[in-house]
Amino acid sequence: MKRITLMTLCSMVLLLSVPVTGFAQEKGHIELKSIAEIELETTDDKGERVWVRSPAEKAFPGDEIIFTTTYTNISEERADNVAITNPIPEQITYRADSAEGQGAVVTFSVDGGRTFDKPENLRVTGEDGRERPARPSEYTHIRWLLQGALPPGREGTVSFRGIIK
Amino acid sequence: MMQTFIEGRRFPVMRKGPVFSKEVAVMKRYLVAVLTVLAVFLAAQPVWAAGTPVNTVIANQATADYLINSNPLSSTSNTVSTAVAEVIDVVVVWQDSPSLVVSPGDADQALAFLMSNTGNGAETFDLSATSTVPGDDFDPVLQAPALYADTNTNGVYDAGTDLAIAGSTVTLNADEGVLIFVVSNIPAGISTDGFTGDTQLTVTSQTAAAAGTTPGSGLSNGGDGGAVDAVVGSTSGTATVTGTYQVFTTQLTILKNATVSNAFGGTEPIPGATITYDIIVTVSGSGQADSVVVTDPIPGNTTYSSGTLAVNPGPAVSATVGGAPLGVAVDFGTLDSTNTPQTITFDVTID
Repeated sequence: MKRITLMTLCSMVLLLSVPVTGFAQEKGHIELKSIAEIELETTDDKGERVWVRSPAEKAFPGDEIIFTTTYTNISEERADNVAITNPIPEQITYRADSAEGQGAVVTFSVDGGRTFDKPENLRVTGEDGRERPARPSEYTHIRWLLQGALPPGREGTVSFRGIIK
Repeated sequence: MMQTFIEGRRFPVMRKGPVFSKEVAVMKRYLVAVLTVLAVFLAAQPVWAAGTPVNTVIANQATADYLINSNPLSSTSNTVSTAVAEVIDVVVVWQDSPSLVVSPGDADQALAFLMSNTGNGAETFDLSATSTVPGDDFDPVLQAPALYADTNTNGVYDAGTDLAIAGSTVTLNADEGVLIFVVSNIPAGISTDGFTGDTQLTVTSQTAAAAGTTPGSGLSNGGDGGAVDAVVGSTSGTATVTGTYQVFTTQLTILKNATVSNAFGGTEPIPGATITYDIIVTVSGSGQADSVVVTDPIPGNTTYSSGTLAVNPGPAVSATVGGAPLGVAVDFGTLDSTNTPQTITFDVTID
């Protein structure tokens, strides 16, 4: 641990050299803000148990992360057919039934984001070569389809939870 | 060209009663031990036992697609990053269970322990051994140094070849495993058959030593590279595992070879081919083995070749073929280390 091995040196260099933002953010007409949080159960000053969220800058394998994206129509015009897509990071296992979004229909992909459908329609080819219903842990992407137009100034959130592998 | 299979193992000999049932039991346990080792090695394949490697950055970015005045447009979010911190875990499994059979006065007797870093980062572990363990019959005399690596990676301790572990510390990457030998001499004065002597190997992660060994205790920025935290996992980052020597003044060794020959002069085990079995029985140590009876069932899908059972040099009290299921049984009576090794041979043909 105290010894800095070549591997850790490399990962430090990687950490320093790779910009934190993988791709430049494009605000466009709808601004998206993403956060990753960890939820901890604690007791408030009234002695009641409450869940407190804090940014998940560091986390351990097995921890549950809550990914939340806030969308805001920052333009002067109405946005139609709004679809918000979030790849599930490869180190994260999606937690079943955790995707939420008010007024949105949630669909998932099991083929790397090429096609999306509702959970009951998703099928994969198992190790035995036969098709079977897909498991939530096999989802690769989540897509929220907002029902109705998004007027100027309107904002909302979509979120999902996953476990670090 | 002969095709030969060899299997062998040292067995303790009880002074009274039939020997073979005990040997079979020992052999079964031995097989279980071998399978366990295989299982452990298979588990060491890169299926991250403790999960995502330390310092992995989990990046998340959302995209929105939409229409403005029927024009397709898209937006992307900021990328939010989570760095994976380090979990400290270690598992040690003793490999010689249920006991390592030794003779009084034996030197260089090694207990083997497979130590695995089941955490998600590189970790340095402090190792120590003790032979003053309560509950046993004698104390093996630890060599100085007592801890050795399997330098030539052959799975067994080779005195003079396998090197002492420098500084009694071992550094392992995530999911990496290594065989550790704890080497002792057996006191010459221990002459009671069945007496046991225990030796304990203790392995503790240096981070856990600093952080405390309660699961969940952590070191801020204690993870690999110092940028993330380290936390002690469910194994407490430490393991103390006991291995046991068992002394027998007399030991019986059985080696079984199978040689295949067919009508075409080859060694392929085809129908009609003959398998010749040799079972070599050797007794070593200072005592004698009484009522030594060696039995071996005729394998399925083969037929015993009448008249081929032989014992060399003999003599045996009896050598018979019979029973159900059919098997050979050779009664040697009493054997000791002054006897020449006895070889039982018989042939079967493949149905």
